[in-house]
Amino acid sequence: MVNFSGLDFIFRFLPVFLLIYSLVPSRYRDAVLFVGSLVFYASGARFFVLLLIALVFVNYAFGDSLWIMPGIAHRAWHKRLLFMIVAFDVFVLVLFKVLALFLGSSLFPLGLSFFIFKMLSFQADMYNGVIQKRPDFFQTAAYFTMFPQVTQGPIMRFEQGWVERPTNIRRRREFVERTLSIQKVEDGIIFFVMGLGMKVLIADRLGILWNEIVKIGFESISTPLAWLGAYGYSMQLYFDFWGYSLMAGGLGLMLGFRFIQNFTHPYAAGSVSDFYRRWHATLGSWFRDYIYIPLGGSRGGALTTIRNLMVVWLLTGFWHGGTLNFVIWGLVLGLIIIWEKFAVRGLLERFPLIGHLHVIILIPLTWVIFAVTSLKDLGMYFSRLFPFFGTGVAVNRGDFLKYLGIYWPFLLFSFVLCLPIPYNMLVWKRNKSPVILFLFAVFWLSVYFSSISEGNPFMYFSF
Amino acid sequence: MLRFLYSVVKKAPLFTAILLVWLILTVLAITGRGRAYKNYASDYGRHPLVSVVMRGIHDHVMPWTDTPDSVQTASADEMDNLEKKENDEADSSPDSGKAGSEESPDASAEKEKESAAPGEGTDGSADVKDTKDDGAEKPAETDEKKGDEKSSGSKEKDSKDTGSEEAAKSLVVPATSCSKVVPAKDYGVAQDRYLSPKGTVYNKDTKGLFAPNGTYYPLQEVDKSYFEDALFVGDSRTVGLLDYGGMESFTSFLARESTTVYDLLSDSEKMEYCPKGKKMSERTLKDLLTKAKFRKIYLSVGVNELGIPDTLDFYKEFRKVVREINKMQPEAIIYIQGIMHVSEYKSKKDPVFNNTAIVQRNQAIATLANGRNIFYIDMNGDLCDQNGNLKEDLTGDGIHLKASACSLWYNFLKKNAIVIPD
Repeated sequence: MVNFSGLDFIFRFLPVFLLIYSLVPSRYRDAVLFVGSLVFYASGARFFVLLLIALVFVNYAFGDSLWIMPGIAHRAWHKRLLFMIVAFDVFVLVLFKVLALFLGSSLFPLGLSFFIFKMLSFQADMYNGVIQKRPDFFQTAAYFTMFPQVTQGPIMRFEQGWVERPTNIRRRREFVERTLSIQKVEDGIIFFVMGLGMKVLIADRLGILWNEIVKIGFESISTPLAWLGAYGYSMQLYFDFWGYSLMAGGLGLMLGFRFIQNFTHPYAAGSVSDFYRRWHATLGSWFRDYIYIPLGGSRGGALTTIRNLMVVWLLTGFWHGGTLNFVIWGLVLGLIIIWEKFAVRGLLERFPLIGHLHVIILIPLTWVIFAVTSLKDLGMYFSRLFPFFGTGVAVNRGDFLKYLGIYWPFLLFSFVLCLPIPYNMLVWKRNKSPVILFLFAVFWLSVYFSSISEGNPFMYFSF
Repeated sequence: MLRFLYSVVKKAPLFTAILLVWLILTVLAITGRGRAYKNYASDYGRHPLVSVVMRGIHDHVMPWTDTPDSVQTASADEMDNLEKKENDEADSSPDSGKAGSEESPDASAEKEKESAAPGEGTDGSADVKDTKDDGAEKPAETDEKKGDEKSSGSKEKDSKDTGSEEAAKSLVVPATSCSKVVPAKDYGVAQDRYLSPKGTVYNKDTKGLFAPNGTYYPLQEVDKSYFEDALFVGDSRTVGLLDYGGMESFTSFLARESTTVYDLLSDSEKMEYCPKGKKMSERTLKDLLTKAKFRKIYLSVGVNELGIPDTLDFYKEFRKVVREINKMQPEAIIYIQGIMHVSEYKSKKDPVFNNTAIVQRNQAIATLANGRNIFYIDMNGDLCDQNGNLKEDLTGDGIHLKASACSLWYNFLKKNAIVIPD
């Protein structure tokens, strides 16, 4: 049920929740969202829901104490409180990352990386006075736990979800009431279906290609297959995560929130730095606002900028996973971005094509580092990508054609969706009947694929 | 009211269309319950009703399909019930296993049924018996359920140890012409619904095709020319052998990913036929075996079936397939290849794809070997660690041999072959 593309979510949890949510008076909606989200979270994360509840209470208590009237100066204890709660939240996150690393990934609570980051931004925003109207418990709790975001983000800021506006009384603010409407539900479903299709019809199918490569063993894949695998995995990751984010955004719309944009056609970016402004944008802006800028950003000269960039990217690597390959992944990206910023900036401005090539060639290679957790295997994969570093074992030269023959339609479709125009056209013309018909077909086709793979392990994992 | 509905349809056409189709499918699933969807009874309640219709479409069952009472399923169910009843009664008298000489009325009824059945025609009922029928043989099932390493497949050994009567001894395939079923550690994660019904024992057939008759050929080493008139039939693991075993130029393959024993006799489930490196074509097993002749047929299926309840059903289907193949190619040697184990990582946590289930299923199909023209060979001894888990360095996904390890499979086959003198 905790999976948006699962039938239990689509046909059980979501309709029941939406019905209750829309029938209760609007002042109870945050409470309903909180309780519903706990049910949702518990269905997938079981007893970790207790941890989530505990974190909600602790963070509400601290956040509430950190809040100050706009225009009033901080006291010294405000800073101490902020330090304590930030240290506590970071400790919980690191603790579970370490536990997962040494004792198995099943010990990592579902979505912890995401809701801890929401909690951290909430504390900072309360302290800095970004949140000017004091939120009540259920608003805070619903923000931390809301089911569209609790498992995989996007890392929405509090003020994006609970929008404030000034009142007639000076300095007083109030929250804008979230309204529900049939148009919002329709728009929400449109985004949800687009995301569902990307996840089920593209990402899950391409996932099988990567499994095939793991199955063969990296030492035995031909160089063309190694490259096909790198692109296939990149597209799988993209449509899995973009699809998920679209579903989350669509669900938010149905609940009366604004659409949170997490992906803006990253593969059309003109440089790697630009790519990461468009990829998982809520995470990037989180690091920018709460790490990079507090460290001084790019205002302290070249050396400080380089240091700050490396800190941010190292942390980004750690955030994604505890093993060494994620650290390497973060470092490599940090270095590429520094290279772009200082060494080839002029070149990129004069010849935009070079920047696009950066994205199209370097990014899939960095995703290979992301995908392969064992360093030995990683070295092997790169020696197949660039075969002058070594030869393979038992390589079947026909493997590339075999797998290209199977997966080309998915790769072609993902290539088309990497271009901004087709997707933007769909969104723009979303109320026209051909688009509606198309999405209708996408929905039921996705449900079909989910049905035959769900709760039926041998269907999905067929050998 | 109508105006309100109209405005909803106009403002939210996708929402309306999805809602409408959802309702229709749900109604279809409800009305088709017990009729078109009678084989999906276990899906009701577990999944949203739409998924029943979707799964039906996948299996070519439409809401209006007139699903017949599958004769075979019905009889198999009856048989299961019969066995369970017997087992229950056996359970109620704890020492019945030892009392080999004393036949209870139930057991003699079973005996009567056996003798009344026309030898080969009985499907499964003759050899799947209650423990009290044969005091000499140990119930493998109960051993295994204890949850330790004891999944002993060596029934021959057991019966030898206990020293049964002469007649039973002569029906045992000697170890020289049959691999031992390789045991594996049970991590206690296997789901019961995929295993044998409690108390089921797979005894050696004493009649017909599957019964040994005193002629035994020994396993021996051969060279690659041996495989020129062989056909390898199987699932993705066999596809791996085709792609990476280095045998594709001199032997023939008929394989497809996700093939199961239930597909092998189907007229519609085609597989890829690759004769000695020549052009591939799509064929069914039946079609191929009626048109081309092979002297050796290697079967390797069973991993996808782990997700289909249960071991007994798998065994019955396997038996049927072997019988059919023997009918179509009576001169061919049929090799039943034991299902390759999975890695420790997989076996420790997967309720479906684990070695507990694999060993149990191997024990079941191993009883089909007769040492004359049907042989059981089990390569797990060459590929697994001391706990019976597939070695991690031989597999990328825990299920398949890596490309670089496929030569181990080929080497095993070369060392474990049967040569029947002309």
